[in-house]
Amino acid sequence: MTPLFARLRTFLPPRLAAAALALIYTALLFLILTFFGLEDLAIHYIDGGG
Amino acid sequence: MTEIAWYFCLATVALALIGTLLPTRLLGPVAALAGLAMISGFAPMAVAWLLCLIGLTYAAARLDARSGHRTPFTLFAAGIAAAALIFLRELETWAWVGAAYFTLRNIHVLLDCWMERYPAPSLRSLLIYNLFLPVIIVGPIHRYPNFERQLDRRRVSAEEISSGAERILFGLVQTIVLGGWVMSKVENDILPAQIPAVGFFPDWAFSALGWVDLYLVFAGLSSVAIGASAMMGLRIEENFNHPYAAKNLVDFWSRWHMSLTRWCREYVYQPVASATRLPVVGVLCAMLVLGIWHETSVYYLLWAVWQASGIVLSHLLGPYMPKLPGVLDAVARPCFVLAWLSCANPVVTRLEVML
Repeated sequence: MTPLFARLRTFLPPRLAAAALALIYTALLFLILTFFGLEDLAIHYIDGGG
Repeated sequence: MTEIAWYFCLATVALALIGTLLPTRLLGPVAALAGLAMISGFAPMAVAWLLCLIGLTYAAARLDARSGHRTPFTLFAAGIAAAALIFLRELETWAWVGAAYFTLRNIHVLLDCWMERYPAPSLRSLLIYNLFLPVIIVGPIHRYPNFERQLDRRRVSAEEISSGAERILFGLVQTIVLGGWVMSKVENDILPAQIPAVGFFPDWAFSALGWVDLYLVFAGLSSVAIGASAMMGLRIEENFNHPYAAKNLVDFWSRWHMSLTRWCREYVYQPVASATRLPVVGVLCAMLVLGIWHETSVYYLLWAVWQASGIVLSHLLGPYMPKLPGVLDAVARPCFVLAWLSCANPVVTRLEVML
């Protein structure tokens, strides 16, 4: 049980807490991938680092 | 955040995923080899200096242990390590990835061995301790005995892995989304449109934003390091404890970059304060070391004096400060702390010009 899941479980039933956790993780991953700047890194590799 | 930090961050996450599957006897060497490969790739001179430093630490600690009494050689080696950090860093033709961190780690081992807190470490242990990948780029400045204990008593469980992975996720959000995107929007688009570009108060406002940004990026990356270590079954020291909830400057410095401030307290403040019987001198010396550790410059010397005077004033005037009602007090005190910290930049830059 992760700290966030434990916190969600204090006010949500187990299944709903698990669904909320999955939703939060997905949203956070989406934000990270959106702002990570993967394109910049890819271009860096394509250019051979130069 | 620099591109090098990104690559170290990605390598740390990859190591955490592999590390969960590795047996304990292989974890240390694999994490150290990964660290060595990463530093070699970005800063070959830094890795050369690190290996020299490990050799020096090993030799000095062994010599001390073999002689059976405290020798000045260990202190001399610690002095060499500190001096080398100051002078080598000036050679800007080479990158010095993690040099400031591994210098403090080795001085910690040297001084602890000199004080006979634990026996001289083996060369293998020192290499594994110094080259542990997750902590190379942003710390924490983890302690040798705790790290050894963690490696000996390593326990990988589903709970540790999931908690560690969640910590990494939160750390990345804090660094990339809040520190990287939101703060750059505020600093580059929102604030410049609201206030004039030059002047004391605009500089103060930008400096305050810089402190908040630094916290978000730095604490986020520390979370990645701590989370990755947790995934591999190792608990390393925390680096931040809600510093912007601090009630005063003394409280702030016990919550901000805790592994560094603890190092300064233990190896600078306490010896100086007990030798001189003047805690003020201890605070000043500790802040000077903290400033020089960041950069050897007039700016950081003045910055250290400013921050030390803040701590002293906070200590002296604290009991006389009026207590505001309820939430107002909880908001006003951290605001005052941030105002003092960030005021250092406009004041010090102007003093520097005058000098």
